[in-house]
Amino acid sequence: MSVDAAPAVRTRPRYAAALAATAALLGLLVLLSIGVGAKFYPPAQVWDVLWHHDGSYAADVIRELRLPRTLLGLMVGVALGLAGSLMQALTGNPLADPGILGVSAGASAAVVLAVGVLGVASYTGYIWFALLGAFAAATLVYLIGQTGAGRASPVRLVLAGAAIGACLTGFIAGVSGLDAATFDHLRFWTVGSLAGHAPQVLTGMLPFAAVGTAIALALGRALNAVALGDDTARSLGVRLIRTRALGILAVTLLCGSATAAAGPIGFVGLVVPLAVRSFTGPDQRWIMPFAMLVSPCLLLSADILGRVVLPDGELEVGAVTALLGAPVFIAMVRRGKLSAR
Amino acid sequence: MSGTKTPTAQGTWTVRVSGAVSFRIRRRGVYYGLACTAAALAAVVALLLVGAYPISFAGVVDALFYGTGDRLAVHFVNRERLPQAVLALLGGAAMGASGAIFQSLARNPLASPEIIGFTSGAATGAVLTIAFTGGTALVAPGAIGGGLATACAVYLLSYKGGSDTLRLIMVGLGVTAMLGSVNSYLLTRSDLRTAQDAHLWLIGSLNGKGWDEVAILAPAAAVLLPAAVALGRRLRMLELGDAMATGLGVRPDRTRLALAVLGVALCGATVAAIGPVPFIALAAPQIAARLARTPGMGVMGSALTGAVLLAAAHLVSGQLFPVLVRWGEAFPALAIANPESVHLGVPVGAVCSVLGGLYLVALLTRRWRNG
Repeated sequence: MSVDAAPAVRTRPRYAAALAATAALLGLLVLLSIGVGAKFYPPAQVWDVLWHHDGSYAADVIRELRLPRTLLGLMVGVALGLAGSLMQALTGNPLADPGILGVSAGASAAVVLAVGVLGVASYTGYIWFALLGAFAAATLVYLIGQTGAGRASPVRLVLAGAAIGACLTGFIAGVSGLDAATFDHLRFWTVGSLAGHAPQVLTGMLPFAAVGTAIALALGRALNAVALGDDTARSLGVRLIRTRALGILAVTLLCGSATAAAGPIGFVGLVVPLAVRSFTGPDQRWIMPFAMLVSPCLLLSADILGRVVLPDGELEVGAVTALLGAPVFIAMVRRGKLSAR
Repeated sequence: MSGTKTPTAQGTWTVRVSGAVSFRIRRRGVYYGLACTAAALAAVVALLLVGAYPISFAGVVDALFYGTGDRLAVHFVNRERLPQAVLALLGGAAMGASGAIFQSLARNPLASPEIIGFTSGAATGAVLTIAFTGGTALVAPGAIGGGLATACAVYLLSYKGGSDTLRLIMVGLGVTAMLGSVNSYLLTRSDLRTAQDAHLWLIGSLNGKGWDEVAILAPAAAVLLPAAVALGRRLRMLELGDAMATGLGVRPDRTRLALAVLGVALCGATVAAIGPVPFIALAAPQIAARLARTPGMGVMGSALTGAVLLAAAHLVSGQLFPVLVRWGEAFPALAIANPESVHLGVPVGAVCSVLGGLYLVALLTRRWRNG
């Protein structure tokens, strides 16, 4: 059957070359992201300092501030791109995105609860809350969107996400305003930013993101079958419940760990899989690797843009992605992409 | 009114004003209106009695009617609890009426100001004003301007060879997501005090509001609410279709425009006084229609329902913290980390937002289950 067959032989070298080119672009963006900021360091200097600390101030800035920020951008980018692809594949919904379907809001609300009410201060403490919140929100939205006859339509899931999102926004607003110190901490976290996170955030996020990535990549074949409809998928030997459960687990791990680390960053998970899909076609085994590379490219570019666009200070990456991504969402709505199924 | 009431069949009364003028009112609608009024009065009494600073019933009466007794009690009753209760009633009524107008015009129960982006635009306008002027003096015009601009943008962006309600709602959601991010960003750009002020504006709050805000909302409501109720009767005719409405003596386009202006103005006045309180405009028309068993969106019933809802939500938001603190004493593992922050209180908009989300879930699942 075609889902099991290797991707068409003719296109394979082309995709592999494109994948390599994207990886090269990502490498360049990593060097740029380390170089660009309040003070610019040329890529050659960045490269040197990365391999041996020469004791200069520049080396401190690059190794202590810029490098962790860039690595976080890489990880969060991979997580959001994969989470978005997974959600679009699982729901058959081109509008699915961790932000739009309320999954990030679930993680955020749980983090706000942990920080604001229970006084949990460290990433390793509140990541568990974020995972739980993301899982609860993902499951709820999926179940609500599924009510009634037929498969969850794109519009239904978006509306269900908006409803759950409204609830959680109210909760976040109520709790984060509780006292000045909590509010001061959370107002920076809620925008979605790669800056100013402790190194423990990186090491804390890595295992969760890695497991989520592994599950997502392993699901590629099953997701291809799911796209053909439940009955076809079943007859192809795909265990639907297991696939969906693993899919939600992977989304939870990816989205929860990313949100706990950098705050809610919207629209990356929406735009990247869509763009990738228009190039690769519907085969998830190509979409996901591409999304893994394109998404951090987008996130790092947005972060770099946010650093240089204002005369003073920075525009947080979450604000940049929203300003760039919302028009894409609206354009899709206008093109009538939502009426399918 | 110097009319005579004579019970007629099918649960209506006929009121004769003179020989030539008479109209029928539905009995159930009258009962529902009376029940709402009673509930609103009860909520006001409760709002006057309950608060962080304990005041006895006699103390409240003394403070309210004679201005005597404990000086703090006089201050809290006359300067905070009473104006806030008035604001809750007026704001709720305005939002309820506005919601009834929008939902009837769009013929969709989801077409409320928050879903088409009016409220998030108003919030952005308010926060921008606070961020650039550093004070809250010009917030009201800023909020209304932001809301209007956003609502127009959403309408235009969703217009594609005609307007489609579903597309309008989806575009509204996208714009709301974008503005939410902008709002969060703006909060990080001001000093902490300004950001806290702006945060309250973003969600809508009655805490710390007083007669100054009543002075903004009351005159607007006094003009707009009766006008909305009067014009609202034509909504029913518009719901029959333009041809039928024209036949009944209503000019559809002109009436629709007038109603839309009224709806926006009602919502804008509320936003200017207490901020973009969600949920009321979404839920009040539906609750009123269901309980009063009217076929369409009655503006009057919806306004009364909105007043009760907002007053009740304000009551709940004021009591949330004392309850949480008591829980914290019972279950130390769930205790609030900073119980001294309790006096701040939860903004009423937060309570409304949670209620609104739950209501939306109920509304959607119900619709989808019925196909």
